[in-house]
Amino acid sequence: MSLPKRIVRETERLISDPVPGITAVPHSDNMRYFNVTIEGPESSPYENGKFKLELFLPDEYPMVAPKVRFLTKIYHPNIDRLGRICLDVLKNNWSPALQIRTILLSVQALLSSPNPDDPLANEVAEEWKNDNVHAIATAREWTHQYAN
Amino acid sequence: MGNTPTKETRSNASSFGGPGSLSRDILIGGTEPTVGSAGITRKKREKEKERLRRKEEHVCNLIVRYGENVDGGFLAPYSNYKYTLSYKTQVVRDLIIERRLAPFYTPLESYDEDWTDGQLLKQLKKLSLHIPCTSIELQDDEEDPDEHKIYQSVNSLRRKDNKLFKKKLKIRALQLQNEADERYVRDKKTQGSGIRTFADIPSDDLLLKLYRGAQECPICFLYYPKNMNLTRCCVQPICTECFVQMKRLEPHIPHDESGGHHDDERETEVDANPGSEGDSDDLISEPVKCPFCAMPEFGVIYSAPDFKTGIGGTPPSEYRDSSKPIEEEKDEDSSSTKIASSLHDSTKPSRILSVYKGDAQHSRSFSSASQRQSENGTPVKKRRGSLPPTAPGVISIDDIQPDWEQRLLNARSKSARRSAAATALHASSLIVEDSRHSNISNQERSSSVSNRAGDYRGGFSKARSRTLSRQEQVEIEQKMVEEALRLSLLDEEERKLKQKVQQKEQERETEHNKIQTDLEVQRRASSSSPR
Repeated sequence: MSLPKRIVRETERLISDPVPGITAVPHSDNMRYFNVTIEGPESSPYENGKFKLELFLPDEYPMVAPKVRFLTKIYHPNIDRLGRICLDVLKNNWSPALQIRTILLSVQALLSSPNPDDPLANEVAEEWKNDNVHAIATAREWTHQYAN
Repeated sequence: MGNTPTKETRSNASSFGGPGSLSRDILIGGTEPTVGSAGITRKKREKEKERLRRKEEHVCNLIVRYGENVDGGFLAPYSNYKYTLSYKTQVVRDLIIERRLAPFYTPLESYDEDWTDGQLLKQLKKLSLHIPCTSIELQDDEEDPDEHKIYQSVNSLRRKDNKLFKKKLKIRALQLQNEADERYVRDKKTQGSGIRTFADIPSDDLLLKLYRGAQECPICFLYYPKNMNLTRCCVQPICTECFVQMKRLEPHIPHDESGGHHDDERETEVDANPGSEGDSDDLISEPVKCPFCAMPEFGVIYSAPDFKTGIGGTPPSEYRDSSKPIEEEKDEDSSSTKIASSLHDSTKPSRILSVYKGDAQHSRSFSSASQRQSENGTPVKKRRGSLPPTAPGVISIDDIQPDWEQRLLNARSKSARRSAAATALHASSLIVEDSRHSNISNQERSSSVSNRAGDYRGGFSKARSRTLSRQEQVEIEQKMVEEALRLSLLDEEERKLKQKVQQKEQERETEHNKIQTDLEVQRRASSSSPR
């Protein structure tokens, strides 16, 4: 089945004009499925980490959001054990004017600014609020341990 | 449902485009799926028939026919998107004919401002009416949940029939589309070789006029003639095909910004815990937001070009660029020609990136040109920044997808029913619990469980009084009555809303009929006037 022009063009642009710190490469057998890496943002506990994610474009894309999930273990109040991400633009605030590129930038921004008040991983969020120093240390440790 | 006359009037409109147009095909004449149960009343069957007829009409309306064209575009989408379209096809067709929404133009995959006219024409002539479709897309995807059960429910039989019907419809639609495409290619070829001309094959002048300075739709990344729909709020272009894809999210409970509500929709629906009243009423459906600036109540506005071809205008084959002296349109005078030619000048390479600014200028000059046309009944719009959702000429998603009310209603009553079932379950478990607490033998307990159903009715019977205290009985009774009341209120509300929806539908039908008659009158007038 032929790929919609939009997906072809987005893929081309991701390769020809990549976003710093982010890579997204489609599978050769399924062009809707991308292997993604995101570098942990500077001055965040995820700094120096390289996180693997998977991204899938459903048939209804761009009318529905891409599905994105962390494959690398990460200690973050908005990302759960299965790597699912709580991010408004991946859910109700998705707009067809957004793109793979912008979504991945949003995910990267989420690493810089965790939001423990709207948690997905409740224990992590509790820790984040009650013992911030320890939580950040754990996040750093996990980054060192898993995200290389 | 009182809309039988529409079909005839519509076929008038579709045969409108002149000799090249197709007569409207009836997709699957007389094929009704056999409904597998005997106890269906006549009324129900008629309703079912009506539903199928609507589906058929919907699919039929999605076929692109080159005879049905407006200003060089069509009344059905090219289908960049493969999935099912739910928009009201009749409403959109009417809006396009009225020039209140851009027609479905065939998109160009790429566009280069440096192309010569010859190169551009070569690209344009390669275009087909519809994205090439293959039979692979006919494979069905979803499996019936009852497929592997030994006993199939009436519902699953019905679903099966439905599926079969859908598949037949799909195959037929595919055939019709392919036929329409073939005819288009054949006629184009014949015209190209100069043997004869077809009224509905666009002239080179028209193609160039439209596609010179083509603009990329920011959502599908394809190129369209520059007279695109513009969002009412932030004046961004959007092609009609992307516009008709947009729809409201499924009904959901309001999003609590502060609370930790995750996987909310599903959870609350499944939970439906009996204590929380008004669960179902919490479900909301919000109007679509603008994809570009997130402004609520997304709407677009369209400024038609300064010429009219196809339905309600001159045959597209006869279109000559207005800078040339041949004029067919009555309402075109010297000043509009001047505007048009100045427009032509502004479409030089320099404006690839300055689309928005350029477009605002365009629409302004378009609207001043169309001011003259306002006698024709074409709405005159002026674009100056953002417009309120109620401004004349704004087309909203709810205009073309009006079934959200029905969907919200369905979701609400579904959730209400679920919570009612949960309440009943809860109540009956209370009874069992009570019977357990009381000092009775095992045997008696099991009998009281098996008699559970009887407890509802026999709340006051003395026989039960040993398992339930009087007060508890009254309480349960009270709960049931309340629940029944609530459900009947809900039903009433549903009935009212349905009525409202129906009424709206009727209004739409009458409006549609009016447009058709208007067009018919216009056509007669134009065909009788000497050329």
